[in-house]
Amino acid sequence: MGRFIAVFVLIGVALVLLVFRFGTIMLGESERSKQLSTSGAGGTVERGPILDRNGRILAIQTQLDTVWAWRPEIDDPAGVAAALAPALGLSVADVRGKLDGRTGSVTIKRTISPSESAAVRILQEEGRADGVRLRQDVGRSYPERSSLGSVIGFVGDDGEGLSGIEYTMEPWLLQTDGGLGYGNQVFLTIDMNIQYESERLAQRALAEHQADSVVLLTMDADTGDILGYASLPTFDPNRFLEYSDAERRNRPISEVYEPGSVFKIFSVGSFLQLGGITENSLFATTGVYDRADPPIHDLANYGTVDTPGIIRLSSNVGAALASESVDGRAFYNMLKLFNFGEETGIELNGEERGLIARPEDWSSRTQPTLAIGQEIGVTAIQLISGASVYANRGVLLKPNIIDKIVTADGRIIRNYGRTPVREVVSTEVAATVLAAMESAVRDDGTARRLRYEGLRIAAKTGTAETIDPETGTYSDEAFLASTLAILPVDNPRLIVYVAIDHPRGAEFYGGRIAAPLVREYLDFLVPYLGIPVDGDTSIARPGRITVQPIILPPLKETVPDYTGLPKRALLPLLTRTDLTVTLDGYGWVVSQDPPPGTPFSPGLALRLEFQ
Amino acid sequence: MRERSVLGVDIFLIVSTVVLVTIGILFIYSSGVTSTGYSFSQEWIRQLVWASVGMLILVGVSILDYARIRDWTPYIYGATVLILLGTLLFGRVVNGARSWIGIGEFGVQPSEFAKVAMILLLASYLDQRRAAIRKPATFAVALAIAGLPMGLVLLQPDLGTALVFIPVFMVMAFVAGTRPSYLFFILGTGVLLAMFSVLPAWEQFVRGEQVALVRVFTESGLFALVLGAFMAVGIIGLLGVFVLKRRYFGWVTYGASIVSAALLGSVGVRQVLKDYQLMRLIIFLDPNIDPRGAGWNIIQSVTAVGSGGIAGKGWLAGTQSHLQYLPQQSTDFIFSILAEEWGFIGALGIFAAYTVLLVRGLIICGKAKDNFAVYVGVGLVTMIFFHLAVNVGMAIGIMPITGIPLFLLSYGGSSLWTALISIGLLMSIYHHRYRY
Repeated sequence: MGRFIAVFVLIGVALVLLVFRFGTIMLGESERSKQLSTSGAGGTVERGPILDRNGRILAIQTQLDTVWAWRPEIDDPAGVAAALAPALGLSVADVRGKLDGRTGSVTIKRTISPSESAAVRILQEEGRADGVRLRQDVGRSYPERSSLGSVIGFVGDDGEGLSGIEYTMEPWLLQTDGGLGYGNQVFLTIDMNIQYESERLAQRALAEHQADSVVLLTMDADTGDILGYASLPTFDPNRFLEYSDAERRNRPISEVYEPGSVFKIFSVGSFLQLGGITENSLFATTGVYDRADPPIHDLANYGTVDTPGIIRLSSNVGAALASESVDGRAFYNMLKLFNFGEETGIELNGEERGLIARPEDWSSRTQPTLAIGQEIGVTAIQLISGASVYANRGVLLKPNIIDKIVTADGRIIRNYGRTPVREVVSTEVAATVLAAMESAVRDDGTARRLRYEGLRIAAKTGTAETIDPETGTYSDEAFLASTLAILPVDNPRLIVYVAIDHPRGAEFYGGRIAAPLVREYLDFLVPYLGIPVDGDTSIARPGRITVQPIILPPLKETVPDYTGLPKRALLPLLTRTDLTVTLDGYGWVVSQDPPPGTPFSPGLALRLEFQ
Repeated sequence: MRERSVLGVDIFLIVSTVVLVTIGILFIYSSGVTSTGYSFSQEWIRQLVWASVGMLILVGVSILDYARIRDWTPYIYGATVLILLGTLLFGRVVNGARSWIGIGEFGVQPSEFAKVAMILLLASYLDQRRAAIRKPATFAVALAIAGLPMGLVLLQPDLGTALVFIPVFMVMAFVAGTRPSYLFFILGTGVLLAMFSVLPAWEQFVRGEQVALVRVFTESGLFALVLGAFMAVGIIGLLGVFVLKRRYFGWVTYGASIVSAALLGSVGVRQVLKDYQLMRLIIFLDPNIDPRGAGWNIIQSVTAVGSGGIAGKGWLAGTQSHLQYLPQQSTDFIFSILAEEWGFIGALGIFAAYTVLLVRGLIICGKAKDNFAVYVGVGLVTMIFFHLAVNVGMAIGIMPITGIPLFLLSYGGSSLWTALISIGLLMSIYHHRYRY
């Protein structure tokens, strides 16, 4: 009986403890719970914007409606679906399918445009959309659309950064200063004017050569700031779900490939730094280097070439011969100093380290092959930052994509700027390689199509055979045409790198298709950045002050395409008397009625919708 | 005199049962209603049907003489074990466990009934072996009686229901007079086993930093060393007993065995349960480490309970539940809805009804005419109490989410009938409390 009483007491005590704990939760914490249950889960900080270095908005929060339905109130799902679908630009079956869901509330379409909201409101007033509700939803808008897509990235429906700057800088974007409720602003190093031009040229090259992809990177040689980051094909983060993984891929940091001859500037620089060769070393090339199997060939027999000649003529045999002058492990260590096989640490997600075999795994052919940029996998960002060594007297810079972080009220809380990594080669070696690269722009050099009157340019072209993923061997028809340029030679300010993957036209040599592209790019860059040109009497303009005026397309016989324009640029339209303009929303034009190309007649009613 | 005993109903027991079942149906209805008053779930109607039939079963069981039932216990137990086996082989998977068996729409959860079957056979056995109750062999057989159905339920896998067997067994064996050291062995091993099993998950998810002690469980070398040491201590203790003939060395072996068994068992547990599953069990320690995943239920439930305040928001007026924030709200989290809508006062009423039920149950045990009835009664009361404590503890965030229903209130025919049968048995014990 004693034990029985013990059980009695035990259960009683446990019951009292349970009720006590329950009482403390119920009565003590009820205030906090009440707040929680009304404000709901999720943060209240407004995600900060992303801007280019001049403050142009690349990503910004928007307040748009989301259509949802409370199923229990819908008596006639078919009727509601039929009414709602056209208003939202969805198919009736699609809406119907959502209305047949299992939960009480279903989301029909997220972040709809203001005109779609208006249409839904009309349906509601007419009583044709019982149970259909609108809810203000915070969305993310990317006014530059597909420009710079892979860098900016995107956020998911829950407001979480999923890729790009949106992902890597999320803690900063959501960090609020002093409870303002607004996240910090992230300024990128990108200059959107440079970005537009590089994307325009890359897009043209992509189409002209029917290439798989084109990468065109522009780096400030002094600071390592990335000014332009064209990666095509690209995607529009506003509609990221509609794109494939391949289109969303951030190629400059994630695509690993054999760089080919451009890499000779790194191998020759390494041999010079290790003392294996000097500027005046001579190499008896005979058109073929047969101490490797299969042998390494030149395009022609260049005879005896000196060290700069290897770069000027892009002599594979010369580079292979030069590679014999150094120890394999020392060569490997030099390439590691250039940061090959390592991440650059740029603030983007998904960066690859590249591939470089350890010396103990090398075959007899590896060393000469490495010297000509094969048997090594690099990323475009590694190549352009590696080249910063030659633009900075031997010092490697970390590539920057973030310029600064500014609080919502305009206080700078973090500046990025020049980040030297290490000294890789001596000042003399850097000067020697730069001079050799400059010679490549001479008459018999491979980069001669890059010549710019009055501007000293150092450059190296490359035409790499790419590895066919099906056979695992070098392809005879798939090439990667590339060019790397540093300018001006006497005081480098810019590094430009272009890689055209798998051009399918008649021309595929880096010197023939990549170099002219860079040359055309310089026509924009040099005056834009005010890089001094000899013989140019015009006063060099200071850099980065020009903000190109946004030109309103003329309204003549037909209605032009206004999408993407800011409201400010549309002011002239309002002064016209021959048409009525309705402006809806704030920001940039996202849609217009009537559509572009509609014949213009006086009295036209133009409706523009902003976001 | 049988007629009189039927009329001599335990009025407290029957009233609290009816009150709880009725409130249960009210809140099952509430859980299926949206904030606009639309009822989208028919669960309450089914519960009403089950409750009506269940009440008949209750009356039927209470009329039966439990001595008759005692004669059937081996068959009831045997059939239950067979059905549990069948469930494992042919059962339907609901919420990740193969715990349902039945035809078409109709199904039962045999694991619910298995608890009662186990209590009956265990009580019968313990009563039979009263003279030899302190013998290890008796304890071992009793353990096996509880362990077999528990193991089968664990294989489904339904950890929550399986856990109920442990306190029921412990309390019944304790009341029957088993040596406390045997029970403490089970208790100690169980507690240590639970701790050892969740420590790595606790370090990884809750603590978020390396804890030196936990390396014992994550580094196999270190683990083998520690286990070996405890086993060696145990063997040395045995030597002490047999060579030096000193009994107190036995206690060294006893302690070392508890630790060794728990260590070995924790390896087994981590084989079966993944770290993330263990995390779900311990996330109640800090639900905010995964507020949208494993911690969601707890946060939403505690929020619902806490937002009720003293008087509650009123029946059908809760927001957390009607906006469908809570999963499984008619079964596992029925108490949260009740607390939100009826507040502290309503919940106190529920506690009061349960207290009446449990106290009456224990009083009935006190009045029972034989030991079998006492053991059955204590087992049933413990079972009901454990369900109450774990389910309410879950709702207020002090117990792991194991998903066991709140008897009488929660939606579900099997658990409701199990509860009503249990109460019927208690009433049968009450009716037949006099020797004739």
